[in-house]
Amino acid sequence: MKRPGFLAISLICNLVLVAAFLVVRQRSTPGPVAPAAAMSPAVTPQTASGWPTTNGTPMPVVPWRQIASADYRQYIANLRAVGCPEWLVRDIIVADIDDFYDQKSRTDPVYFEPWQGEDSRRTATRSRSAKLNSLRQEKRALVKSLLGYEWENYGEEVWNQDLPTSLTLGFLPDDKAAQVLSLKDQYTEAAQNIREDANFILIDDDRARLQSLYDGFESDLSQLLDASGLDELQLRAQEGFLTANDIHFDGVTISDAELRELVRMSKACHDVGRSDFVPDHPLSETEQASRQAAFEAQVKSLLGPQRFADYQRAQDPGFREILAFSQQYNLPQNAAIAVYDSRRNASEQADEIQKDGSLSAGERTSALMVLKAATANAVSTALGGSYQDYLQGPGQWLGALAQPPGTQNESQTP
Amino acid sequence: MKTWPVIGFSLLLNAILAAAIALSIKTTAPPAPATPVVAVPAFSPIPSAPPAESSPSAGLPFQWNRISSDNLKIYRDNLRAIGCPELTVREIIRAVINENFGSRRRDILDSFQDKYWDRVLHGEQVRRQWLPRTEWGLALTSLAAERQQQISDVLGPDALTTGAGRQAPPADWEQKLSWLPPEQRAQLVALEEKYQQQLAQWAATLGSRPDGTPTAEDEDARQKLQQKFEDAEQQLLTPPELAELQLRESDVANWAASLPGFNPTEDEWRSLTQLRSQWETSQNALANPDLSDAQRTAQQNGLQSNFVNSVQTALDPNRFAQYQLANNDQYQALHNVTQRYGLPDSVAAQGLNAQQTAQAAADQVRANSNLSPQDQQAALNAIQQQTEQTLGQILGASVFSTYKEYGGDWITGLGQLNQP
Repeated sequence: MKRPGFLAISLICNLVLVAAFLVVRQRSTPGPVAPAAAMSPAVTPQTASGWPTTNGTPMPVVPWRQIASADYRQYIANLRAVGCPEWLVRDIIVADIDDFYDQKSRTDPVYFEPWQGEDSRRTATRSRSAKLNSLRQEKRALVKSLLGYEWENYGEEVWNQDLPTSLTLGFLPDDKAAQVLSLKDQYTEAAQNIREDANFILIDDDRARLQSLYDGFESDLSQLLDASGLDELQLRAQEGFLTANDIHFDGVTISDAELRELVRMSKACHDVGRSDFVPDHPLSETEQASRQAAFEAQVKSLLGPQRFADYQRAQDPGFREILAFSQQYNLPQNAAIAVYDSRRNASEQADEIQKDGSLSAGERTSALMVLKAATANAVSTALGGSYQDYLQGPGQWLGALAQPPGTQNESQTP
Repeated sequence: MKTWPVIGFSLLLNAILAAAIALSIKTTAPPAPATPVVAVPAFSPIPSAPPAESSPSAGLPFQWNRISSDNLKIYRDNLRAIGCPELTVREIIRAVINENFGSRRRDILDSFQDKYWDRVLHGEQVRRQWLPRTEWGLALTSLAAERQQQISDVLGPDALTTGAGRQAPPADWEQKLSWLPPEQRAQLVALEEKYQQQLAQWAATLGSRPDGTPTAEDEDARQKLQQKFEDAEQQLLTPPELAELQLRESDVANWAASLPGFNPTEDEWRSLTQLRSQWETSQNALANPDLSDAQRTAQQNGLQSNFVNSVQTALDPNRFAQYQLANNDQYQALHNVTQRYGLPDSVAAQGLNAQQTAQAAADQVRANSNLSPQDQQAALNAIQQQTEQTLGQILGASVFSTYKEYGGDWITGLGQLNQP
């Protein structure tokens, strides 16, 4: 080839290569920082996993922006496509939805001028609450449509932190427990809205709406849990009846199955789960006593006469006190029962002596002294070496047994 | 002209440019990924209407297992490095921690679940305060603390703060101060925000100490912060603006919020708030330990009486009557129920009148020593019966039934000879 021709080709190659170099340089120069990247603090990513190796220089692209999407279905599909675990997909999406609705609900804060009265404040607050409720319902519907079930990341937080919740719902798998919490949260909130709308003065219409809500809650629970899970959950909720009515079983022989049956029976007396949603009209004393008597008759039928007597004894704080003492001193339960019976008998006899008008003051004192000595003997026999400790502690009632009327401490008699 | 040197130089330049291009391409490519990383297309917003069948975008930039790590700080940094927003980073790390702790937690839960009813039997549930001291309670509490610690270690202590612990957003302050010109409002909001941050820091310092009790020095520091804030407020606002701010933020400013049935005008609110403020200042003087109980009571009654007289002077007679009704608890109970049924306020006022008449009659019977206890009881029963009839007529049967449940306890009390 002639030299001028060769030179021309080489110069053209120079120009092409310069242009190519400029293009490559241009592409490797970072573009405008994306908002998401701007939110992230400057970091020096690790290199152990081989990704990414930016050595502190800005990333050429923002990969997360290729994953995140305003369309949640697409966002989920993208996360799944990059191999994000399903439970993490759920938490990422729900957190994003939470944030979105959180921003939305902050856009219209309520402020009252200080001269606005209670009535107009309540109206404005209810109107604002209605808006927020509507947003929350929209959010829940969105979560359910995306995941196929109710889910609140907050519910999972409660599940991780709250001991009574762990105790009550611990028999359920973790995801079911968190879903039950979400469901309960949702229905409780709806019930609270009805009460607030009514200014906490419930009329029949409100009660009907609350009842319908409760039916919905039970229906949703029955969709979520199998029959045995639902039964166990309802029993555990009803177990609050024992706490509310201060029912004890100290010294009563009762199986788990019997206890569950007893709790089941208590529902007719007071349905704990339902009354959380639908407050009962206040019961008359007669109705209350009638329900209580019906429940006790059922308990008696369940336990039989002897164990029902034990059950009744367990409701007496005096018995629970001596039983606790006997357990602390490793004494048999019979010792506690013997002391308890001695105390009851002594108290009854002391009453009779005090009321006996045929006795002179001296005779009354003597009779009480004899009673005290006999009772002390019986208690001492039952407690053995622990007797002196008992006298210093819960046994102080013995000292008061022979005192004249009016000087005894009321609380010392069982 | 000798062309060979020029050709040589051109060839050399070609070689250098080719090498530079190759080097540039190499340095911009990701480092030997396990799976080929497809070139990332420019970000384009996905249409808001979701497709019937979602499909992953072509050319996704990474695989999750290349950013996840057992070392959570590395995991966090990898997420940040790929532009994951901080809120999402937090949620991902928190979810991973939950997942990691899940199996240990499940083991503890399972260990006591089969004994659940046995524990009910032994009263463990009754004594809820004992739960944290049980074996499983201690194990769960300890695990929860470990989890919190890990969240704090990886994401910082702020990540533990829930919504309840956060301060009011500036948007609320903006609204509260909407009566101020925009420029001053913005400055005051910024001032308030800064002050709240300083207070939060002060409280956090206290909270990090084992006992958390403020010392005299702490209290001094807090007062200095407050003084600095108040000085800045004074500089920012004119005296009338400052007076307005103090009036609106005073302890007595919100009195109208708890008076159903009385909506003051702005002028009424200003007058009565000033009066309440003066009354409260006078009340504070009654804390003087030199006063005897009798003196204190007498002075308190005097102040109360003066206050009511001043309110009467400040309001016209109709408004004063409405104000007094709104301050009457018995009226409020009636008003709440009648409002629930959409009845006019006059119905509640009639009900109150019936109540006051009945209670005065019952008091007279109880005080009448000429009547035997049996006759007194009979008279009280008659008053109670009559009152029920009267209220039933004023309110109507269903409203009266609701009223008996929400505020009508006094009707049963009418029939009691010995009132508690």
